[in-house]
Amino acid sequence: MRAALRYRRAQALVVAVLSALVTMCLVIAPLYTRALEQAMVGTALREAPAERSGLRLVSTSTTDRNLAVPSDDLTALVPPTIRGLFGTPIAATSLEVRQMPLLGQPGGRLQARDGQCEHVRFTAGACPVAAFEIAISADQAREYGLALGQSMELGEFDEVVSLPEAAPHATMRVVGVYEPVDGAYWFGDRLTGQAAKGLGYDTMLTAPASFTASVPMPGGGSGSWFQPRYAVDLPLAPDRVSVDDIQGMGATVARLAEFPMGVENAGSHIAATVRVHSGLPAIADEMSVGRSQAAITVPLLMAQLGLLLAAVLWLVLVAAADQRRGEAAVARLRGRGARGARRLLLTETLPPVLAGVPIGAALAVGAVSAARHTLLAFGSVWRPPLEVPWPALAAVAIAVAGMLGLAVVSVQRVCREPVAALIRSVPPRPLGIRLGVLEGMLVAGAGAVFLALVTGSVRGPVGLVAPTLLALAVGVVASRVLPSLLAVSGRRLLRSGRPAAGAALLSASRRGTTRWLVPVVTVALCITVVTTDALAVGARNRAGRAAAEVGAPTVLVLDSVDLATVAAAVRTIDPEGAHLTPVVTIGPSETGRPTTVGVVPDAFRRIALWPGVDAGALPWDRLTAPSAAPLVITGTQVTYHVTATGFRTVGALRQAAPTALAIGLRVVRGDGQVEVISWGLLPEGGIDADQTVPLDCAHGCRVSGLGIIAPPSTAPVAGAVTLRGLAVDGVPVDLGGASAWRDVSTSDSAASAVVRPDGLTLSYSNGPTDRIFLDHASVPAVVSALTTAAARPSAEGATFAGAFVNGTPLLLRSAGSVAFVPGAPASSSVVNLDNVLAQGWTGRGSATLTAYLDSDDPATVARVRERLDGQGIAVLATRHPADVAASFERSAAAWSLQLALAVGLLSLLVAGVGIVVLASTSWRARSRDYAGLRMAGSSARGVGRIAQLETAPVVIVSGLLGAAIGLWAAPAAIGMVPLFTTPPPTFPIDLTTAWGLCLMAGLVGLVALTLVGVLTSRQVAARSELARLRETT
Amino acid sequence: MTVPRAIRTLGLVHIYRSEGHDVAALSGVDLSVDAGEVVGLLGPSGSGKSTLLALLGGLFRPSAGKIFVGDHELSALSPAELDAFQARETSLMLQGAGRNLVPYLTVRENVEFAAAQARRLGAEVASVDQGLELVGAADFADAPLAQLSQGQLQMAALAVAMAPSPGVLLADEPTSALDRVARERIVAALLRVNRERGTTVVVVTHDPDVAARLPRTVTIRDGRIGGEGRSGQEYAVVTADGFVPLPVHIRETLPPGTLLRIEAAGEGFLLVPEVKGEPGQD
Repeated sequence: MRAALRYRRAQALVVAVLSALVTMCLVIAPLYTRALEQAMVGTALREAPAERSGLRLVSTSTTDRNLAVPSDDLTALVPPTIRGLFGTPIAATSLEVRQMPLLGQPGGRLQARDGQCEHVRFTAGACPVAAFEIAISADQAREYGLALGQSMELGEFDEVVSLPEAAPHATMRVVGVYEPVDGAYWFGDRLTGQAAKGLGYDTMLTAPASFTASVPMPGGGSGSWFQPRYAVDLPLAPDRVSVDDIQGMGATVARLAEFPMGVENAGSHIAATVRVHSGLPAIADEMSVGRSQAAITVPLLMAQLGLLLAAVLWLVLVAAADQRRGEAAVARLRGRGARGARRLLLTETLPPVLAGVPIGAALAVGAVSAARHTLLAFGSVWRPPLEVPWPALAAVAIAVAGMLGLAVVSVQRVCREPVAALIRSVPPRPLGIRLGVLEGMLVAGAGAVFLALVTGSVRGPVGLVAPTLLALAVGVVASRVLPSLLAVSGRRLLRSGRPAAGAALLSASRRGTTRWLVPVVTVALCITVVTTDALAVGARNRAGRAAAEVGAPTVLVLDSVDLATVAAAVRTIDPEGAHLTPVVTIGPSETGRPTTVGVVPDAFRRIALWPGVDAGALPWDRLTAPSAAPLVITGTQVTYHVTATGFRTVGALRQAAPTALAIGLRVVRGDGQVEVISWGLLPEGGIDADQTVPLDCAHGCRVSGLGIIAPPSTAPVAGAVTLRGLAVDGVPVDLGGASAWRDVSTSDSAASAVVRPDGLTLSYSNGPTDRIFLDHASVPAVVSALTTAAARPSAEGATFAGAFVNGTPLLLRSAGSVAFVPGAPASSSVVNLDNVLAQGWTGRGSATLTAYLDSDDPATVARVRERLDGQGIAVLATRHPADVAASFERSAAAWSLQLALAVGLLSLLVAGVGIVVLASTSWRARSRDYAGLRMAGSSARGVGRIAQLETAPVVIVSGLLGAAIGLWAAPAAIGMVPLFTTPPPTFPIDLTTAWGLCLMAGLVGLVALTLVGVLTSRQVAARSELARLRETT
Repeated sequence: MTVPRAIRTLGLVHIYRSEGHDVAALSGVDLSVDAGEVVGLLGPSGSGKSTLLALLGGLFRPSAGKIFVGDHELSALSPAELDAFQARETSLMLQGAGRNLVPYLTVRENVEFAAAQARRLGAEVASVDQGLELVGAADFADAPLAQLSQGQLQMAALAVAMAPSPGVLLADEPTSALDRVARERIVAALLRVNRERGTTVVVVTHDPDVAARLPRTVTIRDGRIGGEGRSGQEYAVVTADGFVPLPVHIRETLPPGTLLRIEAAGEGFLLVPEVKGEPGQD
């Protein structure tokens, strides 16, 4: 055996290498899938906020504090099967409180949490350690004028206590002032933020004893707080979680959330007090999707390469068996029969095949290990030091069985030949373009599978192999057709007096190796092009989706609720809106309604990112601003002269007539709040007087309406009132011309205005409503919007509700379609920002104010931040498409596709090896032919040229064929490959072929393989000494 | 040890297809070779002598007719019996020494490889060294084949063929492409094999010098036995159906269509050509 291996060392080496590569391809799939799953789970768990990856149990009772489960007991509810996967529990007790006596101050929270003082920074004082000591936030100290050592009375206010006289209370002494430090420890809780905006008290930290000590009770005596809230947070310990734990953990947590105290206690009062919060079930579901994607995409990618490798290995084995025909003949001549001949040949063939298996397995382990440290280095979960998943072992077994099968079959076909055929020096070859039975079946099968895939009969990631199957089928057919074409071309060239080229083509047409070379190169180039396209399309869509979901190269999320201020600030920074533009995203207050996005159309068109959309072609001109200039009043006092003849009741008197009406002014504040301000009264009998009333518009109010307010539940009235000499803080206010106000009319109410130079006369009839207003012309009745498909009403031209304006929906009308709105949800309507400024919105919390910047240069971003800061607008966060794209890249779908790069490169490598192998197995016959040419008078150089011409056309034609198939079939294939774990909500996936990259990859592959073919041919030609002619074997 | 076998063919016909046409390689060959005899098969290229040798070696079955080697009728043998026959009874030496040898084994290993199967089937075979000594290959028995000359390779091939101590040795052009000295050694080895082991030897050759060294030659012409030579004397052979092919030198003087009158003349026969247009004239 050793002698046999030594005799054909290079061949044995090639077989061993191919065997190793085949094994690697098969083994790497389960190993990489496993590593990918581990990285995916690790990344998900590490990147998820602590409150999502962790477990929070909360218990509080509105009826009996004894029913609430204390923190220690809450920890005990966590099933032991998953308890070990979490870190040290963090217990907390908290209480909703207000300062006593009640003077209108908003509420806050009193909290004691394990180790809390180690997770804040004290700017003054120290950690509260005794009962009724508190640490307050720095904002709280500033806003409410609290200082160290000062005491405050805090009373409990929550579902149980709503009246001050019923509240347990205690005097708390301020012992510390803290600033928050963000971190996973807080499980997403924000301690501060309320006080800074004057909205309430930030969380007050206290010692646990504050919750256990007796407190004064309403009506005397002492007792306990009524409704303490007990909680325990269990942070996940990702290092303890193996990839196999995640599904079980998700299911266990979901069950715990459903039945915190077990199914048997599900109906108990205590169980009703416990709530479980965790994102683990959702994470488990996401992982399940990712795993299923990876489990299909990775093996299919590797299967293509495996298919090519198996083809090349088969080629080598067949060539090797053909080379051993003489040995088979000797064995048969010596009476060993077909079986003995087979044994002789296998003795030489099997050892390198088997030797390649452990090498291939080791290569797979090494490659996956390298991937773990590079591509998948973003996160990992616990795994045993030496992990051999059973699918990897199965892959090794399949590799061994498959390759042994190939080896046996390749040898079998030789050994079964008649001895008379075996002893011929040149093995008989089929002539013409007829396909063998096996080849016919292969072509028919591959063609059928491809057709099934492209016609949609079969769906799914299996589509990735469709182009390879097609290339294989076409390659096999071409391998039969091409030799005939080469022969015809060769003869023509000979007739036309070009003997070298003619001889080369004729030579290529009769080489047995041509039949192998064609499918190998065709499949390799097809794989190269398809994998390049898969990579390019994947990257393009990840970038596109990230751009669409972020909205601009940089999106600055602003810590402000005042749109007017933000718009003004942005205008100050970039007056032309060339690089920076404000964008307000107003979420719907009802599910099913679209999000309203207010933009400066021209700037938004230029600055926002529109992957795959021609933003310039959208009808931006239809997003008109209100035609009238806004009426803005600023001041604290309004004076005017009012004249009214009195009002009369309208219709049957079922309700009491009002005794007086009020003049009302509807204004929109900068934060979107719409308020109605009452001015002076209009008595029933009429009035003609100067009036001066206070006005809460120190920072400016945008007037959206003027009208009459009647007392509730009074009879409808009608009348007229004239306002003259309107002035705010002594500054006259121009109420505008006749077109400045829009009459309002319904079936039973109406308001109209007559505007003269000296004043405005409002005629009204309020009907059943208690207020009727004229709309200022700067407030459009219906706003034009560009709408996404999900936001568009089914009826053409119909109005539909946008964001709510203090209970009234903003009426929108679709003025055009847009595929998606950058940075906004799928169901969105884009409107002119001026309309939003005029209308207002639901108010605080419903809108996100952002600024879109057309650059992601850190220096530019920092400069803009600084200038916004200078305008009093803090930036809460910045978002960049690259960050979001990076998160998409850390997904199973992306990681699976990354393997395409290796597959593409390896396919070229394998095809190159195939070409070398074919040259090495046929070199003796070829060099003998070339020696004949030299004998006939050809120069060595001429023979070298013929040798090159013999190979190059075959490689080039096959490569072009493969590349063309790849380019044609890639979109059909890639359309079935999951590019994302979850489908993009807005961005339309773009499967357009990446022509440039694909053509470049195809060209590079073609040039590389042609070079390999030409160089090996030159080597063969260099051995064409005349002595070759004397060789008989 | 070697048990010499006789060879007999009866009406041997072999037709093969070449480029869509049926070609008759043998058209009724009746040949008898006695056990222990040395026979040379002569004839021009394409006459069918190599086909006859291959049929005798059991490489393929004849289209018609029968072949007997010793007690075996080859056409009646099953594939396993044929394998055993080839392992023990008959050795075929193909033209071109390399085609008889496993290239990565030494001469000794090649001989052992051939002997092993015969031994496994129960044949009594001479030792490897004896075989190597017999053909004169002992000096280079352990050398790699790549280091051997063509003559040595041919000796090695002969040693391999003789390894199972066959009753019949069939050698196809064993001296082709050899120089004179090597040719002499091979012929001497063949005759030594026959002399010392009693092996029946059938040799296909083109070489008149080699033919001259053989006690009996059979000339194959156009797929038939065209003549026979014994101890330098050429004979025509009467076939089973009574045909007598004329010797070549006689046939060259007789144009096709010539009428011959055959007359008894003492113990022999007289062939008298008739002159055209004058039948009955002497």
